[in-house]
Order: sequence, then C-alpha cells, then structure tokens
Amino acid sequence: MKKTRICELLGIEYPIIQGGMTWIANAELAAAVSSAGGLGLISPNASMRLEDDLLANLRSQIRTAKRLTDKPFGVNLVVQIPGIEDLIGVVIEEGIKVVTTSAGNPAIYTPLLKEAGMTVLHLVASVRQARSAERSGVDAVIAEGYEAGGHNGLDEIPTLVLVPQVVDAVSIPVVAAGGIADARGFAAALALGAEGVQMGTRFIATHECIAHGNFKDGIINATDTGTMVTGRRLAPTRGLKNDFLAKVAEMEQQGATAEELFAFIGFAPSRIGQLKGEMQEGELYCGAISGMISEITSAGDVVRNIADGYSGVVASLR
Amino acid sequence: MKKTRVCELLCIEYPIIQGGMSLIANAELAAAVSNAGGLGIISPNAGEHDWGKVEGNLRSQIRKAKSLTDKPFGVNFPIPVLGQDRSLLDIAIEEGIPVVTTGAGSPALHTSYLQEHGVRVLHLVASVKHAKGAEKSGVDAVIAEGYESGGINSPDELTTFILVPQVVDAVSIPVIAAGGICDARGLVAALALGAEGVQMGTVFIATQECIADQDYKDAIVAANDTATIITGRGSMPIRGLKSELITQGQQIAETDIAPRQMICGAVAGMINEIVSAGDVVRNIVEGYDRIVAGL
Repeated sequence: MKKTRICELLGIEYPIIQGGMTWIANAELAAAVSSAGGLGLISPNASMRLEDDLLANLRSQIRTAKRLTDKPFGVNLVVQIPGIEDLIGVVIEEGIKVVTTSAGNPAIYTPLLKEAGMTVLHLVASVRQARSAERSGVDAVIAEGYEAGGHNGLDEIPTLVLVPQVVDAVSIPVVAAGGIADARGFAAALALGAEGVQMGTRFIATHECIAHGNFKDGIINATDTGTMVTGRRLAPTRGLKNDFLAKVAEMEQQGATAEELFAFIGFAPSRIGQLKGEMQEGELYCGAISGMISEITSAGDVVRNIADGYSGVVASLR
Repeated sequence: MKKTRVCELLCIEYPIIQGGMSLIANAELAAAVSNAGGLGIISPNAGEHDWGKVEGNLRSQIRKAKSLTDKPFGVNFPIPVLGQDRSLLDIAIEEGIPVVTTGAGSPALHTSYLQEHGVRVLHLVASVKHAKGAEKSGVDAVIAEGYESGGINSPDELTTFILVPQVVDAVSIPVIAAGGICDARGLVAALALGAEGVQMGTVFIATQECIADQDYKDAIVAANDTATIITGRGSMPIRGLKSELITQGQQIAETDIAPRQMICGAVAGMINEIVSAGDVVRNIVEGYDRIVAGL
C-alpha cells in the first residue's frame, strides 16, 4: 500500500487511525490497532464509571497500552471539557506522542501540545474549521463527514464533498473520517485527496473493544437505514435507532429547548448504552456505515483486511 | 479511462450521465454531454413551466437534441408525474429514445413496457431495499443517489459514500453513483466504492448549454461548502441553496409559478466556474488516469 505523509508524520505503516471513541476506545483496542500497523487512540474515559477519577483512568489506560504494544498510539482529547489542562498534563507525563483534538478551538491548546513535542491532529467538519486549524499550527486535520457516529458538525457535510474541499483549502495532510469501514472506502478517501482514514464504528465491532456485546451485535445486525441523527438543537448526533433516540426525536418535534434536550440526554445514556449494552434506554453512538459491518473480528484483522484489499480495489480502477 | 458495464449498456464512451433535472435539463445540454461521450438526459418539462404543454415540449426537446447529436441520449420520467398514463413514454418510444431514467415511484409500473419497446431503464434508488426492488422489477441498472444530491431526497438520508457500496453488494446489475460528484476525484471514488458510472446534476447546471437562469448558475459558482441545506424534513426533504427563494427559470418564462427553493447539490462548493458541458465530461476523463496513478 501507498505510503502517505500521514505514515511519516505518525511513524506508522498504514495510514489507518482508530477513532478515540468516548467510553469505548480502550487500551487493548488501541494497542491491537497499533500493533497491526495503524494508529490506535485511547479515550480518557474508556471503560470507567461516572464516579471514577478521569485522570487516573487515563493514566492506567495509557500504561496498559504501553505494555501491550511498542508501536506508537495516541490519545483523543475533547478540548472543551472541564479539566482539560489536567488531562493534557497526564498525556505529557506519560510521553504520548500523538493526540487528536476535537470540539473546541484548536488555537487554545495546540501551542502547548506542540511545545511538549506532540503531533496534533484536529477534527474538523467544514472548510472554515480546517483553515483555522491549519493556522493554529496543527500537523494534520481529520475531516469528519456527516456519516460519522456520535457528535457531528453543525453543517452536516458528508465525507464525499467535505474531504476534497478541505484538501483544496489546506496544505497539511487530511485524514478522512465518517462512512469508512473497508478497502473500498479507504481507496475512495485517497481518491478524494485524503492521506489516511480514521474509523470508529468498524473498530467497535472487534474482539478487543470494550463495548458491550449487545452493542456490537446491534452494529453487525444494523441495515443501511439503521442509524439516525437527532439533537440538532444541541449538536447533531448520530446513533443506532432505538427507543432513546425515538424519544429525543419526539421531544424535538414537540419543540423541546436545547436545555430540555441536554437535561434528558446528558452523558449517562451513552455510557450505559455502549458499556452496559442497554439497547433501548441507552444512547448508542454509531456511524452510518454500520449496515456494511457484518461480523465481529479482531482489530488487527480490520487493519490487515484493508491493507490487503487496497491493491485489488486500485487494480480494478485501471 | 476504464470501460464499465454502464458504457456497454448505454453505448457510450464514458460512464458519465447528466441528470435529467426538472425544468432545466434541456436538449442543448443533453446533446453536448452526449457529444462529449457521456449520456445526456432531457427533462420532459425543460424550459416549460406549463405542464399542460409537456407533451409537445418533450417531442420538440427530443427533436432538437437529435438535430444536435447523433449519439444516444435519454429522457428522465419521475414516476409520480406519469402515474398510470403512458402517453409521455409513448412519445419517447416513437422518437426512438434508447434509455430512460425513472424514479420516485414503483419501478414495477412501467419497466417492462419500456423494455418491450427496446428502451433501457435506469431507476433511481436511495436505499438497499429500493435497489433490490428495482432489480426484481427488471431494470437494467440502478442509480444510487445519496443525500448529497440536490432536489428531492429520500427521508432515509443515506449518503453516497455509504449507500453505493451497500447497493453494489445487494444487487448484481450495474450501479451508478449520484450525489456529491462533480470532478475526477469523485468519479474515481465512486468507482472505488463499486459503482460503474456516475450521474451528476449540479455541475451540469453551471454550464453554458444549460437553460437555467444566469443568477442560478452564478449562485452555484459562488457557493461554499456550507451553502446548501435540507428543508422539508418530515414531509419531503429537499436540498437547495440556503435562504434563496427564487424561481428556477425566471428568465425562461415570466410566469406566476410559486417561488421555490434554488435546488442545488452539496457539491456546489467545489464548482467554481461556468464551462461548457463537454468540458465537464472531458475534464473528468482527463483527470481519471492521473488520480488512479496516484493511488
């Protein structure tokens, strides 16, 4: 497979990044992806209870991953959460070399992270955000389309049109995210000008991911129409259709305010859905690609299948 | 570039189809696309707001296109505007049209009739279920159109990037990708996802041959990545340019039709100049090999 600037930047063999999904991007998953030649990412709150100490959890996740792989892996930081400085402190102390940042102004923390010797990839969902991230000095942007699971950009721009426009707007490397789960999607992303991909949902349905078995089964059983976007008054959020999202949609239809929606949604439902397998009461962040995911494999096989399939897809284009 | 089953099926050089956009997919546009090696499509109401005059209009559009090209071109028939009535289809058959695109209704209604008269049928779908249904009805190919596309969208809102590979896996007839494509990168991406051709609408509006109003073309050229929006969720989702309520064809006919949204695909931000429709086709073809070589 072709080497891109993302491979060089991150010191990895294949430009395939596993998204740092809240609650479920755990050390074992990240290590397996990195060991297979991609880049694994840890979420600071992976596998923890609401009352647990976030900093201690992050430190323990990082140390577990270090024991499991000698390849580089990273941490995903949602920069607008309270206590972000402390999380950055842990990441620096533990010698993490790559962070992805999202949901906040990249100008605030990028200088600090760069000064600590880290490579910074920032998540963007529009051309304006991509330009601003580049000005802030990030090393690459992850252009995430409307197909992605979890929180989405307000502009709802799909991957197919977002990626080439971001590629045209910045000179740093662009990683495509949202809607990718196999070698075809990977090749399509590179055709659009991306130099790598980030995948989340595909990595949930793996043996190493700590997500609950019910949630993994929900992903492999999903059809093409299995996900929906709700919460447009807060932040558009994509998840598996269930009673919880039906309730959110109903509240929206009845004109619920952002405050009322936030009070109902909060943070707990996504935890019990994804870690505890509460398939109707919980919120199940899931990408639109879930209809294409039909088996639970090892995370390493996800990476290897894409790397192996790539040349076949490219050969079929000639 | 690569030949696909869509090239064979439609007897065209490149698997690039121009969408048969309501009111504005006119004979001159379709002929220019076909002359460049793609497949042009006429809309029965091109340039004609009065639906009562659609039969005469269709015939004159077809004859006009025939006078401009000896290559194959097609006609688009949204099924809801036909209902059970086949008089428009009979005009296409009488005029020797080799291919029609259908959509927004059951493909079981007219597919065999058209095929019995030697017409190929390409049916627009927006989900796996509809693609399977279309294949069962015997259509020759499906056009898998994603949420990126301009105009009326499916309430399922499946994007091209995820719709196309799932439709490809579900049917054995050729799949044409539509929605969000306007350049060689998009064509290569669509083929990587398993499609055997593309249909494009918005980029063909911004061409010299398209009958659309100049203000409309200029608005597409000026649009950025966030310029389009979906309205009508819950009833009939339609993608168009934000906050512009104008008639699509002000200049064509100064009629008193209701103002409507300026229909436009999400790809508008990538369209930066008005060119000839032939150049749209040629630029994509020229770019294709270069992009594949870079993979």
